[in-house]
Amino acid sequence: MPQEPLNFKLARVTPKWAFKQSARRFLVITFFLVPFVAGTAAGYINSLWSLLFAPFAIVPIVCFLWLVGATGARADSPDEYLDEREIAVRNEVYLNAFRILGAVIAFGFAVFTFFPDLPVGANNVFATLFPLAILLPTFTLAWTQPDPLEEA
Amino acid sequence: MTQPIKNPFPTPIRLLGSQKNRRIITVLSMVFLLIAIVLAGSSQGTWALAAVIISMVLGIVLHFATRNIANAMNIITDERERSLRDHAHRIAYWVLSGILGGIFGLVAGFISTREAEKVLVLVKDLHRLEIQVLLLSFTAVFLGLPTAIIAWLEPDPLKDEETQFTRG
Repeated sequence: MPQEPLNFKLARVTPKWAFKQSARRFLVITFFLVPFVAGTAAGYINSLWSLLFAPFAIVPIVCFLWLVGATGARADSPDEYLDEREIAVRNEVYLNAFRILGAVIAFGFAVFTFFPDLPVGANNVFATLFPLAILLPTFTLAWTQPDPLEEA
Repeated sequence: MTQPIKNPFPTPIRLLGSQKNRRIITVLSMVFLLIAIVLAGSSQGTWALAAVIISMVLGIVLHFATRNIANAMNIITDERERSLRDHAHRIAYWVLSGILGGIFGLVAGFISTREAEKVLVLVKDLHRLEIQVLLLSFTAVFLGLPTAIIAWLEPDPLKDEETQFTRG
């Protein structure tokens, strides 16, 4: 019998409230918002006190793990673990994720065109884009998937 | 007496219906794109522009050959076409992510930060023809990749005798 993939086990440790669509959307927003706010605040303080914001780095990690669990890891699952409907939903998610990723990259080019002197390093650009590309299908699925049916 | 019904979805250009021809055009399009990127990298902007334009023209031919399934809305596609479109986008997504990952690896691993900054400063110089060609190449990959995958995967159309439906 094939061993259960690790990301499937996440579904069992994800809190029940995270399975609702509104909670999943909240987690997606929190994933982006918390590091942005904490990073900006730490940048303004610009002293040893900014290390106080370091624990906030764990928030996006927890959010992502819960999102993977709440979506049943379907965005990254191979065909043999999904039924026909789930495969169709997963593939449609990639269509949307492809368009979103393209829009993000086009937006980045536009920003560089209008603000060429931005202090952004090449490392940072690709260090943001690559993980975003990995995570985006899960976010798209978490955002679009409706609430699970309630048990009778 | 039963009468054959005309195939409602004829291939626009009969020659492009064959999978073999579509695959040849796909390979040619990708080869010209690669040539464009290599030429842009070696500061031969004019030739690079010519190569990327040829690649984009071949991409447009593929759009016709696949009846633009890659960009078709749900209401004008049937279930099989929708499934093919989404599957192609899934493959294209991972190819695009692989390209981003490859660049990230190059920048982070093999190029020192100072050199990476020089590259980014160069990329920001959008007035240079080579940079414009690179941006055009990226646009061609982004817009054309799902279509190229569909052109590669879509089997030969059924022959006319096989597609004649009968009225019962």
